[in-house]
Amino acid sequence: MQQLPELEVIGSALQDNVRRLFKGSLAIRQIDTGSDNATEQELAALTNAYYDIERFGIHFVPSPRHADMLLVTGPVTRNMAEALKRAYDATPHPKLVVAVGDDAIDGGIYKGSYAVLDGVSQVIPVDYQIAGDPPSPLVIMQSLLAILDGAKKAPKQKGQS
Amino acid sequence: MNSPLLVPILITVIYLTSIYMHLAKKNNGVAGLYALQSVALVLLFVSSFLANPTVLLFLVIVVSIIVKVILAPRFFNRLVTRHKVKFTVSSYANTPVTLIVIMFITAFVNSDVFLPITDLSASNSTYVALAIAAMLVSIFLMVNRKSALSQIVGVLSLENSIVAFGIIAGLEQSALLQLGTLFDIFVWMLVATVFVSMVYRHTGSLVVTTMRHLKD
Amino acid sequence: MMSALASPTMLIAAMALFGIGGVGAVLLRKSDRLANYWSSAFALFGSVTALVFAVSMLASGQTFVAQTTSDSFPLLSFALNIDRLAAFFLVTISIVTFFCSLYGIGYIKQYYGRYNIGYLGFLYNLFIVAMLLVVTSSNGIFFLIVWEIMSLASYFLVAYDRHDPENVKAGFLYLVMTHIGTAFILLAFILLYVHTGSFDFTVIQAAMPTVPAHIKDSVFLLALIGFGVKAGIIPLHIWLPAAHPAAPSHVSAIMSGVMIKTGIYMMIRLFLDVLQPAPLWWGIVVLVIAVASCVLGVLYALTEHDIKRLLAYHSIENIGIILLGVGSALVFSALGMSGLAVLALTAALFHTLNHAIFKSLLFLSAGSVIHATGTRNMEKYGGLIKLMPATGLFFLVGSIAISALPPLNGFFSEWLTFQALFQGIAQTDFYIKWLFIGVTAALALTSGLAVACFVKAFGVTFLARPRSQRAEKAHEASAVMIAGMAGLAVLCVAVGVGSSWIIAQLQTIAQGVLSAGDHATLVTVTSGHILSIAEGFATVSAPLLSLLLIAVPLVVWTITRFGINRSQRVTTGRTWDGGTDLTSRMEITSTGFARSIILIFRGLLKPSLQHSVEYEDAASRLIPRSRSVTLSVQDVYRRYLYRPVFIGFIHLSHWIKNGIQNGNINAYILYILVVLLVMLGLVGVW
Repeated sequence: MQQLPELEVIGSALQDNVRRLFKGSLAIRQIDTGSDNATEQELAALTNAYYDIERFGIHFVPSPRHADMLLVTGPVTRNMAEALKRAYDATPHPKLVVAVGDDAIDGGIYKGSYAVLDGVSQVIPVDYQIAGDPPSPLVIMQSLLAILDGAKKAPKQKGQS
Repeated sequence: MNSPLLVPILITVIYLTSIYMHLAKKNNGVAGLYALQSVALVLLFVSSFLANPTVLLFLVIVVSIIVKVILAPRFFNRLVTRHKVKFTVSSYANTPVTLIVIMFITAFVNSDVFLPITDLSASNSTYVALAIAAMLVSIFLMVNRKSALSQIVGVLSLENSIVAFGIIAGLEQSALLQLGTLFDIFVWMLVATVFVSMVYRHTGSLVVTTMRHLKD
Repeated sequence: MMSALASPTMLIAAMALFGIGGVGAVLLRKSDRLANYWSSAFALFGSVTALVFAVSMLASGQTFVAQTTSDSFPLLSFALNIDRLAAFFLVTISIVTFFCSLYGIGYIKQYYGRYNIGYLGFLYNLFIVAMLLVVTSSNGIFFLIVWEIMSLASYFLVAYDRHDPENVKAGFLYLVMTHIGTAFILLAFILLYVHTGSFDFTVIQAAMPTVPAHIKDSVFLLALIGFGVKAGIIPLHIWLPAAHPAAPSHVSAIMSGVMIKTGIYMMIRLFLDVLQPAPLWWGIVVLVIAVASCVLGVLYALTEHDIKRLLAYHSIENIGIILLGVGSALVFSALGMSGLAVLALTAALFHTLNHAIFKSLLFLSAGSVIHATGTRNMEKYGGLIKLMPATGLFFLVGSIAISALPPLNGFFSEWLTFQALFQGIAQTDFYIKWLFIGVTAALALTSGLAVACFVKAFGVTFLARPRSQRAEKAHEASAVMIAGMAGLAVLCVAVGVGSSWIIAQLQTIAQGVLSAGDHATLVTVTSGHILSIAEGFATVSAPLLSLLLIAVPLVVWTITRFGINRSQRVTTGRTWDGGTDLTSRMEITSTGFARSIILIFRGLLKPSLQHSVEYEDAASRLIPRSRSVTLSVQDVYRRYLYRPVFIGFIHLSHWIKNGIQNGNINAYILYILVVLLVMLGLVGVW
């Protein structure tokens, strides 16, 4: 029960940023590019009754057309590379690309395998990374807060990426 | 029409023979009845000849006797004996019904409906009606009988009654036309003989219902 | 100048040009190309000549009457009577035939080497001449002769593509139906002849007061059925969706655009002109038939996936709309409201013109699509707008026009029809008022469904992706074909924008037909362009409306482009497909589109839905290999109307064969005896 205040603190800070940057609603499209599902478990936990990230204005959407941010997980298998590229193209500007988990950052434990392309940055430009194998929900929230703080400081960057 | 009694008798004979043709059970009998009818017709001609003697009418009488009284019944009898169809006479309606129909036809002809026609000869209107009745009864003979032979006799009887109708109604009938009709009957007899023989050979019967197979 | 153009010499010249075209095509039949060019060129010249003649007749306002009588046929005279109504129909016919002939030059090429082109050219020209004579003749017998020539020429054109047995069957159905119609027309004319002693329309009209009412009623019903077959009113329409698809497309355009209008022309001529004054119930009967035709026509169109059958059913619908005008005119003139009658008839005439233009445009562009893809099945189209943009544009123009959207021509005639019906509601008493309320509701329903149907027709045909290999390889139509369609599309817009002027002209024609004076007018054109009904009951201005419709999107676009979205840029990417490739199987099909509407009206349409599944392993029934859903609509008329009659005839024939015609000599002699007795009896009675 000691974590609860910390969650609330991060959450309210996130909510402030989301309100300022995205008019109260940050839409995230999560893309699984061949992940081992560990990261998915943690991301799914964000929406459960305990973390309930939606109350801070962050929600997952089913289409990249509606998304402000892409959360990419997995080491990018060869078969998913094309799909990832298309999803990136389908996301309207301005967009943030976040690689979540060590697999997504550089391939992680799958690095060097013939079946993977070793990280999201090999396929599409990545703006931010969230490390961990897998990162816990709280870490993800903290990282999101950091990302939004960074994005707030460099508003010009949005239009260009 | 010099003899007031003769004409009614003759026309009655023609009418009655056409009724008896319905009742006759033997084909020979029917032929005999036809011969009798033809005799009556010839006598009608004779009475007409006596009133207005011309050579042509005499010729008509002679040829009528030859064709109608002698040749036609003989041809007919020969057909019957050759094909052994003495007793093939059968009809659709039974005798009482036949008689009732004949009664109705006669009554209908004598009714007011036929006045415009029977008035052709106002003095003889009853006899004109009788001649028409004979005509219709002859046609009914063709309808009622199943045998082709009876139908041939029906046509001949019809012809007789038409001629009788013509004489009694006083319609202009040239003797040449009469001769033509007689010649026609003569040829018709020949054709019918050949035709009946062929049909008989083909179907083994002269009942017209079996001739239906000829359609196919 | 004007009098020279309006002289009958021009009409004779037009006929002669068509004649030269037809006969020349037969003489040149050895060369497909020459025969095509020759017949089409002369059809073009003939159409132009007829158009110039008819327009100058209308402009000068004169009436041309010609009559030749011969002693050997005292009843037959080659009587022509070109009044304003006939001239108007001449204009309509020659406009459509002009553009169809132009289109035909390119379209006929696909028949080279397969069929005799000379024969086609001959029939085509003969068909046009017969139509022109049908609307100008004023003698019953002469009319029937040219009517029959028109029917037979169009029959041969329907069955022209004879290698497809379907077309031959369709042609036969057309032949049978049209002759049933002709039989009724013949009876109507004979009845008129018996009671007036003449086949000449003017003489009949003069003798009309002496004709007893029940004879007039019989003539009305006979003519309604007879001309209704040609016009394609429900339930006499069954030949129309079969025959129109079978004919070559430029011929279907003429058949659907103007040939069925000859039925309308004769209805107007007889009911509103020759047989006047008419009782009230005539108009009510026509209105009821019109409602049935327009609502059912559009519903059947929705269920179709054969593009030409769909258009054919829309012809039925539009005939219904025209008949709404004619029926209202009949009702109004029976009630003595000549101003309203003029309004309703004007609406009918205007819709006749408009339907001729946009329906032929639609048939021509459908013809281009069929030419390019080789099929009439809309399920096999898709994405054609990218491959044939011009055809797609013209089809869109036609669709907008037929859906009665402003500012194209269809809107104004339907608007006018609505106004006539509204006036009917406003100015009549209780029962007739409710009749008009019902009719107006039906027309509103029809208009809505028509929009839905053309959303389907255009969307399924031209949008999304090709659904067959033939559609992928589709190509744009040739230049002459585009020219033919473009002309009609421009006319759609021009007639729409200039509608107030045209309506004013048509109103004088309607006044002439109804013998109503100039004062009998409800439509006024104020300040040059504003059309006003019944002194401001409703107003519309076509130029302003068009301007508004062009200006508003332009303004909105400018504001968004240069105001709101100044800093944003547009990128074009591929369609988001969720990672799976989009295929044409994911598209909505025409059956799928119409399904919900069909199910709403299932009481009327009696659809049958069939699911069939084929399994990989029939024993386990777990994995389906293929699934198919078939949604079909019963032909209610064939099943419940034509089939019983047909079966009855078969039974009758069997009965005659087995009962009466039984091969028994006795029976035949009995018939003779009975007939003899009856005849003798009749002699006695009389």
